[in-house]
Amino acid sequence: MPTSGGPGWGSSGGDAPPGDCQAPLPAPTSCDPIAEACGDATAIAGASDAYVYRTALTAADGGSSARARAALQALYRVSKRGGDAQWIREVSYLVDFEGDDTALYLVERTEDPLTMKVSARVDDEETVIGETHHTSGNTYWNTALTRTLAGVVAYDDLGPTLPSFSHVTPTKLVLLADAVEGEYLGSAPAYDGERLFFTWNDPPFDEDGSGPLHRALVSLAGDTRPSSPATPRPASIHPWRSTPTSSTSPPAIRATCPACSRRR
Amino acid sequence: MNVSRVAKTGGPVTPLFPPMDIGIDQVLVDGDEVFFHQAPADIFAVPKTGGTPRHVWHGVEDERRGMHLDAHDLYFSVTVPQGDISLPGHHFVVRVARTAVVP
Repeated sequence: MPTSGGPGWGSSGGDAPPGDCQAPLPAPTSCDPIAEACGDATAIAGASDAYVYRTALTAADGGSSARARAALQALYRVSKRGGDAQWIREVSYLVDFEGDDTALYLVERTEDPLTMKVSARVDDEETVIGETHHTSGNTYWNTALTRTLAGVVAYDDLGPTLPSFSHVTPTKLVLLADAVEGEYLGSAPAYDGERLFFTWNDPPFDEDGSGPLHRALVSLAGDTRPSSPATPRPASIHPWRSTPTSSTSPPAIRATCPACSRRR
Repeated sequence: MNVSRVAKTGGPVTPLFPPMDIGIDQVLVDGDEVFFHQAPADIFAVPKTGGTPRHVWHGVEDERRGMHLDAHDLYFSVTVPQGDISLPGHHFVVRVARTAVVP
């Protein structure tokens, strides 16, 4: 991560805090040099020497958004009302992150290419709450997070067959449905606390490879949770009236860095 | 493309507004409204019960990433690539009131 930059807004240069903490990023005063891109929106974070990779919204103390800087990625937090963005920690193996009213959740790669870890940050305390594993026959896999009306859900967003879905909470991953039979997962799931909603694609791409040819919206209802990890209960799929279109946790890691927060 | 409503238990599909020649790449539902991002750089809001979409935000062709919503505002990030290159310093996290109306 760059630690120096020009004298302008948002550079992380200047007196560095002790340890591996990084200085806050000063709030931008405008959207210059891309004011037209912001329209009538108000810039609340930016950096003169970095890229915004992704954002998430939480509710703590008015909420925060986190962002990552390319090359060496790091998470930053900024108030919804603006102000300096506070460095949280580096995230060299970040895959995805998302927030809810309680926590910020992170998915990161591990040394095992078939395993990713999921963590939750609550009040600067970070806990690994579980892992996801590549178990299907898909060549590629990923673990993505999406915020729904009933909280954050983890899933594979690379159009897998036999997709699985888990509810992400500050303390654990709760399996909602495992290896659901159908076509190719076509969308991020929605979850209302009782049912999952998502689309199936069949086939995954049309003849010119530009996108799905047929999609069907389905709900996954009933007791989708396995009765035990070893003997999962089959989930029930309820195809809707199709709307075809053409187209065991480690201890918590407390933050101790006085200037920001970090793992140890 | 448009945005439609259907009961969670299935049934008739009701468009919230007449189909338009637009691309919609994200939809957020909250309270009585549905917010949607129309590619490349516009955000609209429409009542859950249907009606004329209200133009909430307009930018320029960008690489908008994510859209988040709370009781008062929408949050997202914007950037404008220079050709095929995305430059540092050309990225912002921004906020716009959910009640905003583009003149």
